[in-house]
Amino acid sequence: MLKPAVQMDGVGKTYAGEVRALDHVSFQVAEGETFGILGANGAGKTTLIRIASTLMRPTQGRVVLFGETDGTAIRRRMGVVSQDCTLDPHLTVRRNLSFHALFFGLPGPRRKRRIDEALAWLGLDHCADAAIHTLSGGTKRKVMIARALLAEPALLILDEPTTGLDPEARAVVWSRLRAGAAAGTTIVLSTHHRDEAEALCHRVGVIEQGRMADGDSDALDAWFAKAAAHA
Amino acid sequence: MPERIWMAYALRCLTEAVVDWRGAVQRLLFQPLVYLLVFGGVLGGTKIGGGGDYAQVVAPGIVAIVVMNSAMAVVGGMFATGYYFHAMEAWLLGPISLRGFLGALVAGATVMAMLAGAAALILIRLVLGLAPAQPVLALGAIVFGAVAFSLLFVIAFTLPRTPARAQGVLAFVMMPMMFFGCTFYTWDSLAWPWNGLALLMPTTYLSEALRATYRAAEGLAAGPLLPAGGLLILAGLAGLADCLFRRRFRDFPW
Repeated sequence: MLKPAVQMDGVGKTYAGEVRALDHVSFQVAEGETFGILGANGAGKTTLIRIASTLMRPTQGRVVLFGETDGTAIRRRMGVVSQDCTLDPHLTVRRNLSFHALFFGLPGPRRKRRIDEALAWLGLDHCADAAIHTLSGGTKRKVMIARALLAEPALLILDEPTTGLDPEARAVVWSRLRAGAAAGTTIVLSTHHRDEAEALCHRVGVIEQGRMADGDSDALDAWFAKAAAHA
Repeated sequence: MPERIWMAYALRCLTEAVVDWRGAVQRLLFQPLVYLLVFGGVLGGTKIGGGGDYAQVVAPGIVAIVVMNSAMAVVGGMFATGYYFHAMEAWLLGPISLRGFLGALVAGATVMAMLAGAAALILIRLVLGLAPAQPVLALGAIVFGAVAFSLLFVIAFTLPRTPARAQGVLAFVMMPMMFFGCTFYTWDSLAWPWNGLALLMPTTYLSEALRATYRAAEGLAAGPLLPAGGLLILAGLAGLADCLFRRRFRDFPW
């Protein structure tokens, strides 16, 4: 196996000392690999994503990203798309990207170029100067993806990245993620959709009631059959 | 790197002020103008002990209130945006330590509170015809106030579990600051224990320092209490803000 970019060892999370969201989750993601996390609502996907992105601390176990455990150093190499819209509502699309690029220390000319590229990749040129509150849910999602890609992260963490996107926008996002993976970006993404997991991921883990199982083909079949039965 | 992020926050606050220019005008001009017209214009001619006008006493206090309100509006706005619009999640994912991020928030709020204080000084000149004898010291006092109030409101917004519950803390913080903090009277005019209580309020140090620059009253500025107490207050607020901020955000709660 290649050098691990993400390494989770026995990670657990208990909220307020009572609700166990994650229970001894262990997995590794190699550099350049795309790893999918499948699970129903409330299974623990978002908690896992938040721990991986350093927003939360596990109550047990250890998270190592690129051999580092220091959050600040890790975040320099990471782009994150959260489940909720986390854009600054007081700024335009371009200013949101510009603020983020400043955060990541992109110098002036490179900052402008990267912002223009990110806007073009995701077809956002037409709304670059629009206020965030005027955008549709799907467009906000694309802006968040553009923002995560700005600083050319070595690790991209996405929590249900295509939720709320129409098929066309979904295809655009998939193509960007595939291009990122081809360029060597490590990707960890959570999803509900089998087609998304199969289209993008080299490997998949299934998370159920806070526990992670290997997502081989049989496990996926079983999980989706169960999900369909519940639906 | 942290300096660049601090600058980014200051820029963000300025951008927000330009976008929401009505709110900025209200904070920077309308609010101090109302205070100045009521306390300076209407009541300002009242003679006080020593022969001066009340306007000289209250004008520095009004600057203190304006700086405080501006810091509250900016810090409150950031926390409201961070909480209700989830922007805090994105900010916390920046490549900066929690302490550095706290510094960035405070830097953004400080810039806006300083602008509000400087605007109030200009309005005092225009409305009441009063100018500080030592403008540089007056600006220094405003910088102190802007940093102190920014830290104070970070504490007020991180003390409760969510900003939605901050109202009670804000009322508890702001009322004594306005009415026990020597904004409407001089520190000299207070007797024990009220003059002791006033020493706990950042408004006291800002108002009294400005009064000294306007030559309205030496009061607290006559002895070492003003710089020593001011520094102590600043150090205490910084320590508490740092502690609460890291406790609140090292494990993202929202």
